[in-house]
Amino acid sequence: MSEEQEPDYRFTLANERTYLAYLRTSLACYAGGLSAVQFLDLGPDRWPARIIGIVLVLTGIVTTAGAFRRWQLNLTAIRRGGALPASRLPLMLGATIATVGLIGLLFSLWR
Amino acid sequence: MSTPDPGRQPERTLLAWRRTALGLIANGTLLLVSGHGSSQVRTGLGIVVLVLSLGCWTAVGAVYRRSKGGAVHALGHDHVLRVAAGLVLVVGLFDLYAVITR
Repeated sequence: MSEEQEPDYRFTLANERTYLAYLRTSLACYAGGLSAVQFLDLGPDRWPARIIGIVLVLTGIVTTAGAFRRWQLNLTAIRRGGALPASRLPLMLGATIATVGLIGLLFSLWR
Repeated sequence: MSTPDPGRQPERTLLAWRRTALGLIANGTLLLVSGHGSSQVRTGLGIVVLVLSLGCWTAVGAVYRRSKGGAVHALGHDHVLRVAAGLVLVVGLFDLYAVITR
């Protein structure tokens, strides 16, 4: 079980694509954060938009790091023929983006 | 595996790299726009990110052409993915700076 074997290349490539999909998600978070400070007009000062931007960009940074970790753990699991490790990354990502969306919506309605 | 599929998987992976490079380009452009006229630093960072993204786009294509077919295996090596993560992290830090100082 713990003997490591080079897996079918398709699994490695699929793992790599998953990792790249996470990288794109973090790039989208960055773009959303930048757009928030650039285009959102949520009040007399810029802070509401800025906080949304900071949260989104930080989410992206955490996602990048988490994606690499996840890729490594998955690769090890594939090589050992074990089960893929569970991860909180998708949950965390989804919850944060939903919260930011909700806050943005409330702000725009309130304004 | 029972069904050999040499062509599509590497190609899909290459396309995934390409989309990621496009995401980098989008971020570079946004940084450039966010800096224009108001902060030379943000404009500069935007240009840096754009140059890096175009480099990434070209490099991915070059590696793929060199290793045709059996292919994108070469990209699967640890250090290439480490470099990609590093690049995205750096862009993230630039974006963080841009968001805070905007």
